[in-house]
Amino acid sequence: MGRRRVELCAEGWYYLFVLAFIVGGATLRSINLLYLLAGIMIGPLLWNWRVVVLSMRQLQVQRRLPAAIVAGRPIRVEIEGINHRRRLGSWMVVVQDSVQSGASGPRSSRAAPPAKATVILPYLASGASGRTAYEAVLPLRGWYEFGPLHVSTRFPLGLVRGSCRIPRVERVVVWPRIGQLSPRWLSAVSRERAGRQPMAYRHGPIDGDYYGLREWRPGDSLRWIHWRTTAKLGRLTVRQFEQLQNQDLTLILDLWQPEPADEADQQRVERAVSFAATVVDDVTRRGASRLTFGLAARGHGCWTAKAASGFSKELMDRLAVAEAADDDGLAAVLRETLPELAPGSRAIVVSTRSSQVERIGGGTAFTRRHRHLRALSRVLWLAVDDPVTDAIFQLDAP
Amino acid sequence: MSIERIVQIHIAVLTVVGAVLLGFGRGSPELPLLVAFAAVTSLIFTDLLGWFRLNHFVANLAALLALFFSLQEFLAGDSRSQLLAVANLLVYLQLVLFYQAKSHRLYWQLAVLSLLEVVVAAALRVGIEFGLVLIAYAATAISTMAYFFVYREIERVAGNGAGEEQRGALPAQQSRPRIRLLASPARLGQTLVGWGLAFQTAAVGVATLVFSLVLFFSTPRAEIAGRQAMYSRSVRLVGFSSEVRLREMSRILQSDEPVMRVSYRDMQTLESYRVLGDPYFRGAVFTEYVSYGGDSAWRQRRMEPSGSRPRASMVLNRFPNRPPRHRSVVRQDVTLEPNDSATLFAIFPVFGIEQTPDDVMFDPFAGRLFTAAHDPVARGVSVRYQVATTGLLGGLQLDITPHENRIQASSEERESLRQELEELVRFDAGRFPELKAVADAIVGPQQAAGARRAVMARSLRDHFLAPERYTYTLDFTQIRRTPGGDPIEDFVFLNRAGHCEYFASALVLMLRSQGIPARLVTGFHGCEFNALGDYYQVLQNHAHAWAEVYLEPDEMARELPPGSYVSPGGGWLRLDPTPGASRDRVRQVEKGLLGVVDDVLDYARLVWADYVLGLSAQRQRENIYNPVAEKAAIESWADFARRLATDREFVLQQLRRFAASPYGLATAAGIALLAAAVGWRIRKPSPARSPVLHAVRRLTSRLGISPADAQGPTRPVAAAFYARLESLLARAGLNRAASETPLEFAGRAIAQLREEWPGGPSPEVEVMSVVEAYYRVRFGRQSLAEGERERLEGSLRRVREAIAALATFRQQHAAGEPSPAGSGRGEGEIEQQVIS
Repeated sequence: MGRRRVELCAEGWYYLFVLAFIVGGATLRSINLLYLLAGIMIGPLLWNWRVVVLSMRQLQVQRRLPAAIVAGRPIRVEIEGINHRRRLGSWMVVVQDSVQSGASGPRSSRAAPPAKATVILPYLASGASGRTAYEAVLPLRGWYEFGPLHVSTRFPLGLVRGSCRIPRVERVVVWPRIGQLSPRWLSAVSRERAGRQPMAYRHGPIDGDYYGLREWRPGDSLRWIHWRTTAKLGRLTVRQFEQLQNQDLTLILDLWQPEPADEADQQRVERAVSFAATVVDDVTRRGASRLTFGLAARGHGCWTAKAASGFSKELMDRLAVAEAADDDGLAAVLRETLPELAPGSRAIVVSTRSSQVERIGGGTAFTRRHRHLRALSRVLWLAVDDPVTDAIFQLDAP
Repeated sequence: MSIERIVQIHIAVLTVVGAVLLGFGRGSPELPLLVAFAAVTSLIFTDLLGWFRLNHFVANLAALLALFFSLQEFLAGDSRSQLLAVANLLVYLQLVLFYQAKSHRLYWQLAVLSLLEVVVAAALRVGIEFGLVLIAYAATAISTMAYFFVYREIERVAGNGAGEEQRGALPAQQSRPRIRLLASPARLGQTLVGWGLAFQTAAVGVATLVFSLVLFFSTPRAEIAGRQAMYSRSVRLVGFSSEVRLREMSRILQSDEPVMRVSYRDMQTLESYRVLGDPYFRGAVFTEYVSYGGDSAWRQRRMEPSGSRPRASMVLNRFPNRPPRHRSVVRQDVTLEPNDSATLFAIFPVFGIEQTPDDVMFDPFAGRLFTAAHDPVARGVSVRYQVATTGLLGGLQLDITPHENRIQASSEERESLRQELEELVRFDAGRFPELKAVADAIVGPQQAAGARRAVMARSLRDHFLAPERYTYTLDFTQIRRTPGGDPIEDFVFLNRAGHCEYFASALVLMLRSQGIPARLVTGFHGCEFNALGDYYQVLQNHAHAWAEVYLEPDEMARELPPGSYVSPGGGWLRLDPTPGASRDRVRQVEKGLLGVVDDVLDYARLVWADYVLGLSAQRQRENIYNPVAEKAAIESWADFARRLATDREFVLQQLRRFAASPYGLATAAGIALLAAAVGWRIRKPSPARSPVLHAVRRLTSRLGISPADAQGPTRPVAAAFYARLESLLARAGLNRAASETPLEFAGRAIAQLREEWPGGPSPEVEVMSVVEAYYRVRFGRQSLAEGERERLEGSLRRVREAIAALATFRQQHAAGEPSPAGSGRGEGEIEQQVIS
C-alpha cells in the first residue's frame, strides 16, 4: 500500500461549518445545551476519523486479471481485499481502478483518458479476504495498463475519507479480436487438397486422444490391444482413439500499409490481424496440426510448431503488437516460408492489399529459383477487402 | 426493503424527533404533530406511491410564502417571538421539502433543517425530557447518517446518481475500455444493511454519548454564570401572587409543577438537617384588606406618602442582623424555579450569611424576602440562594417568629412598629357584622376573663377547625356568594366553604375585630422529601395562606420553650385555620414505587437544571475540576498506594467501598458482559452441532441480516451454504465424520440415500454442486459467479425437499403404508415385510 491520506470530505466540511456555528452560538450566548449539542456532533466526526484511519491499516488490495485477454471480449477483473488486522473489519472499501491503453502500441489513438472502474468491497472481516469484480471490455489489441489502484473508505458516516494509492501498474497485452470463420474457410482449404494424396502424419505412437475400448477389427495395430481387458473378457479388445485429421497450415500475414495511412488503411490492418488471429485460434482449438506462421510487418519473421496452446499464445502475443509497415517484407517471408511448405499443401496469405504474387514472382529472388516459383504458385492470397474474404471471415464491429 | 426506503424512513423519523424537541422549547405540541403528519403522508404518498409531488415552481412559491409569513411574525414580536418565528420558518420549509421528489440534496436539506430546529430548541428553556429525547435524536441522526452514507456511496459507485467515473465508459467512445459493474446496487445495499451496520451505528452512538458528556463537562465555561437558556418561558406561581383576591367563580386547578427545592444544613456541623412535619415557607405578607368593584382583596404593606415614611435603609435592607450565635442555626439552600415574581420563600426568620447572594434582599417594612435581580427580560432563570434561619428547633418549625423590626434601636423604628400595629387592627365592623358577632361569641368571655392574646387567637382558629362546621373546597361553581356582600362575611355566615385564603382571611378579620393585630401570609406549606437528592421539593399545590398574630415580647416569652431567644420587637404567632384533613397542600406521605420514580425524576430534573442548563465556571470548579485535581494529586495517590501496600484492612475497606459504589456495580456488569462476549466467541459451536444457534443464524441469513451474508460473494458465504447442506443432511441422520472430507461425506450421503430409497428423488446433482462450489471458493480462492448464489439456493431448496420427502417415506415405511408412487421398492416387498 502507498502512503495513506486522511482528509475531510465535502460533507465533512459542511458538517464542520454547522458545528462551528453551534459552538459559536454556545460560546457567545453561554448556552450550555448548545455545548452539549456540539459535543454530540463532534463525537461522530472523531469516530468517523478513527474508524477510517484504522480501516486503512494493514489492508491489502490487489487485482487479478485473466490469463488471456482478447480485444472486444468482456473480461472479469477481480479485486481482492485482504484485511491483515487481528481486530476490526473494514467496511465499504471503495477501490477505483484505471484502465488505459499502453503508452506504446500499434495505433496512434493511445492518448485517450483512462477509464475508471469503481467497485466496493462491502466488508472485510479481520483476518479475512473478500472479492469483488468488474467487467471490462478492451476494444483494441495491444498493450493496456491497469492501475494504479485508489483505495478509500468513508465508513461509517461519510464525513472523513481515508485513501491510499497503490502505484503499481500492470501491463497486459490484449490479443486481437477474434472473428468467425465460415464453413467456406474449411472448404477453401480442403479444396486446395482435392485430388492429392492425403497425408497421414503420425505424431507419435498414438493417433489421438484416448476415447474408449472396442473389439478388435482387422487392420487394427497390435499396439492398440488392451491386454488386461482382453484377458478379462476372453476376446481381443483394443483402445480406441479420437481420430485426428491432418490440418497442417501455412499462414502468412502481410501487414502492408502506405505512409501516411488513413483510417481505412488502419482498419484493413486490424481486420487482417484479426483474421490471422482467428485462424490461429481455430487451428489451435482443432489441435494436433502443424502451423507455420509468417509475419510480414515491421519486424518480420517466421515460426513453425505444432498448433498447441503455447504456440498459439506466442503467436497471439506477436499479433497483439504487430505493426504495419510500408516496406515490402513479404517477399522475404515467402522466401523463408515456402521452401518448408509440405507437399500437397498450400500457403495462405492474409494481406491488406491485393495479390502481389506476380510481382514477387518476377523478382530476382524467385526467378532464379524454380523451386520457389513452384511453391509460389501454391499460395492462396486473401486480401481483407476482397468480397471473397468477407464470405470467409466475419468480424463484429468493435 | 431498499436502502433508499430505509433512508427515507430515517429522515422522516429524524425530522419528527427534531420537531418534538422544538415542541419542548415552544411548550406546544402543534408543530410536532404537523411535522409528524407531513412526514408520514409524504413518505407514503410522495416517496412510496409517488401520487403527489410538488414541482419546483410550486415548491419555491410555497417556500417564499412561508418566508414572508415568518418574517411578519419575526418583525412583530420580542426576541423570544423572533426565535419562535425562525423555528416556524424551519418547520414550514420542511413541510415544503417533504412533498417534493427526493434527491440527495433534499435529504441533506431536511436533515440540516432538523438540526437547526434542535439548535433553536436548545436556545429555549427546556426540561430534562429534552435531554432524553436529545439522546434519541442523536441516535436517529447517527443512524440516518450511516444509512444515508451507504446509500450515497452505492449510488455513486453504481453511477445511477452521480457516477462520474463510469461516464467515461459510454459505448460511443469505441477506443476506450468499457467498464461494467457486476454487483447490482440493490444487492450491495442488501449486503450492507444488517447487524454489522447496526452494530457500527450503535457503537458510534455510545461513543458519541460518552464523548459528548466528557466534552460537555470538561469544556471551560466563561466566568459568568451559566445561562440556562436565551429565551424561555417562566412559570406562573399558582396560588401565589402579590395580591390575594377573594372572588373565585370557577374551579381552581391544582398543579404538580415544582416550585422550589430546599435542602437544610446545620450551620455548625454542615451536616444535612432533617425537618420534621410540614414546614411553612413564608412568601408575602398582606396587611390591608380592601374592597373594590364587588371584589375584595388583600394587599401588601406599602409605604405611605405622608410623614410616616420609614427610613430608606429599612425598606431595602441587606440583612442588618447576623444570626444569633447561641441558637440553633440552619442554612437553607433554595433553588427556586423560574417564575414571574421577585418574592423569595424561606422558613422565617431569615438571616444573611456568607453564601447569601448579593442580590437577595430583605424588606423589613413588608416583611418580605426578594431578589433584586428579578428582571422580566431575563426570565426563565432559576434563582439559587442561601439564607439562615433560627425557626427550626430539633427538626420542628417553631410557631413563633421574631418581628422583623428586631432591634428597635431608634424612635423612628418604634414609631414604625406602632403604625404597623395600628394597621393590623383596622376593621370595618359595619361590613362584617356576622363575622364580628361570631368572634365576639367565641372570644368575648375569654376577653372578659383577661385571657392572653395567644389563647384567644387559638380559640378563634379552633372555630374553623371544628368538624363539619366549614368545608374546604376549590370548586366554586356551586357557590353563590351574596351579591354586593363581602365574600368573607358570606363565607362565615352563609356559604361556609372555601380554600385556605378564605379561612385565613376570616381568621385575620376575626382577630382584628377583637383588637388583636393580625395579618395574612401566603407562601407554601408542606413539601416532599427526596431521599436520593437529600432535599425537599415544594410543588405548586403546596401553595398556602395562613394568619399571623403579633405577640408582645413578654407574651412571646411565655409561648416559647424555656430559654428560647425572645426578640425585643415581639414576634408573630402562626395560626393555620384551614382544616388539615382536606387541605390541598399535603400529598401522599408514604411513597410507593411511583413515589420513588417521582423522586428519581425530580432528582434528574435537579441535576439537569444545575449541571446541564446551569453549569457555570464556578460549578465546574467546585464539582469537576477540584475533585479531579484532588484525586489526581501525586501526594494523594502516593499515599493511597503506600496504604494499599501496607494496610490490609485499608485494602479490604477500599474494596468493600468500591463494590458498594455505582462504579463497582458498573465495573462488575462490564466485566460480566466482556466475559460473556469472549466466552461466546471462543465457544462458538459449529452450526450443525448447535441447533438453536443454527436456527437463529439460518433465520437471520434468510432475512438478509446475517453477518455472514454481509460479506458478499466471498468464502464465508460458500461456507455458509455448505453448513446449511450439512444441516439438511443431518436431518436425515447423515452427519459428517471428523475424518471425512466434504466430498467423501457427500458421496457417502448420496449412496446411503439411494440405498435407503432407490426410487426416491435423488439430490445427487444438487449436493455435488454445493460441495463443488464450496471447494472452489474455500480452497480454490475463487469467487462465486454472478447468479451462482441463486443457483445454490435452488440446489439447497431441492435438497430440503428431497430430505422432507425421505422423512415422509420413512414415516410411511415405519407405519407399514405403501410407499409413494415411483418408489423403487415394490408393494409386494413391503407386504412381505409386514407379514414377516
